[in-house]
Amino acid sequence: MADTQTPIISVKNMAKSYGELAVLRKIDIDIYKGQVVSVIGPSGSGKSTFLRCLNYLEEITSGEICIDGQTIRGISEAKENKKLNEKAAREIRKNVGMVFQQFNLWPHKTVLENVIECPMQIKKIKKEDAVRTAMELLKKVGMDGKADAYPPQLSGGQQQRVAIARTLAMNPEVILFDEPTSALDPEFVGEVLDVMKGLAKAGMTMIVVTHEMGFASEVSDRVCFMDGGYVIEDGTPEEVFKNPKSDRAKQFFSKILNV
Amino acid sequence: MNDFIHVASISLPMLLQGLSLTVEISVLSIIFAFIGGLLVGYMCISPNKLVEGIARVFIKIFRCTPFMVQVYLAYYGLPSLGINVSAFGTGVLILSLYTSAYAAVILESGVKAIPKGQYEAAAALGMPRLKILCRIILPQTIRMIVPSLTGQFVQTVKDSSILSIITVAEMTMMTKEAIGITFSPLFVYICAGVLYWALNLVIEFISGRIEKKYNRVRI
Ligand SMILES: Nc1ncnc2c1ncn2[C@@H]1O[C@H](COP(=O)(O)OP(=O)(O)OP(=O)(O)O)[C@@H](O)[C@H]1O
Ligand SMILES: [Mg+2]
Repeated sequence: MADTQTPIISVKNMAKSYGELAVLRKIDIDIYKGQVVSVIGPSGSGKSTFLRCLNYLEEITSGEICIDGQTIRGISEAKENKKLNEKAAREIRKNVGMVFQQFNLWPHKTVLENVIECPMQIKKIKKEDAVRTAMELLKKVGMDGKADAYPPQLSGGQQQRVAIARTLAMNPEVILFDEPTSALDPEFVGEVLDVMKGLAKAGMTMIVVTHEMGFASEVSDRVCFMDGGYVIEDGTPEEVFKNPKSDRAKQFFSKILNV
Repeated sequence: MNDFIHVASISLPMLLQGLSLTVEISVLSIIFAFIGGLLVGYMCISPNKLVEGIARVFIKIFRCTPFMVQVYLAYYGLPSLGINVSAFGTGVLILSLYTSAYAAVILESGVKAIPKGQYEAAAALGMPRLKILCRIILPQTIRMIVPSLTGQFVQTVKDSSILSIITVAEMTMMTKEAIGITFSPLFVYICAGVLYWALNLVIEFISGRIEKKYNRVRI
């Protein structure tokens, strides 16, 4: 691993609680450009919360997240952090895209309109340019034939591929995936994973919360196992799957791998 | 028969004159109430507790007191505050405020029914809040609430009849005057009822068209 490089995402001492409930207790992690990191762990261990903190869909209680020179700080530490965080988040979101379990396409817009919306509205790109780029991206995810369809007319797998194209249209450096295939019928999982594999190959930095152990072990450079608000295993797929250090991880793998 | 023609020839022109004012009041109030409802509804979902509080108090006041009391209060209250508006102006103002309180509640409940992920997807792509509300949330909300909003605006037309108590010469006031001249309450009230009904049919027709246009694709 390129230790000399500066990390693209650096999380230090991050904690997050909802009132009394401590969901993330202490997270320290550095993520480097081009890495594909799979985040796995039992339900309720804080995987989604961790991901959502990275692009400020959730505030963090303490610690800090540095992305591209922008810093999000714990709101319990100083009052003015909230305002500063919002400003930092605006910058961070330019470089960090997110793909959701439920796709979250906008149902009142066509596939094409979903993809060109943000380039036109935020980056002020001219419509014809935005459409050209969008069609290229839709082609890349195999959805150019459905450009004029509305999301409710598509299968889950198709919607998720469009959602990926929509994210790519903003040209992010990092994409966060929160269980991108969990809401899909099994027959559609493969097509979405294929698109993600393509991105990984092309060098995209990706953090993927997933229950697809196949994807985690084949595609990712690195696997993080979370439990109880900590990252308790962090290494190559080989290290984490074959030789987990913790009993919690061993138990988890014995449960899910033997079914 | 001659009698009937006589009554009709006197009362119908009066009713139509009232109708035109009723239409004017209703259209203005519906437009203002829609804008007002958007504004108050927007305040209701504000992260700023003070802003939200102001909106909640506004809604409480206008929803929890009788409309007739509000009309009288505005009619006598505004001049005593040094604000001199015509009865027509007062009527449109109070009907707009009253309706916007209801419109705000309808809008807010509509917005709350949109899945949170719709907002988050836009936020994660870097869209600022106001833009998300206008381009992602509101269009979906409006589609959903067209029926309840229509019901409210039909109510607005009916409520405009109460403005007769402050000398606004809308259709209900003209109805009473026509009865005073012709002494044919049954006939005149039937005519007035039919005209109100027709006016609301127009509103429902327009609303139906809007719904149809939006629902080409079922969400
Ligand atoms: N908005 C919220 N308010 C209060 N508690 C929350 C909120 N969001 C999540 N939690 C709690 O935080 C904990 C971690 O949730 P999170 O969604 O991060 O888990 P997860 O690891 O993604 O689980 P899963 O695999 O089921 O998606 C859970 O106990 C959950 O109930
Ligand atoms: Mg989750």
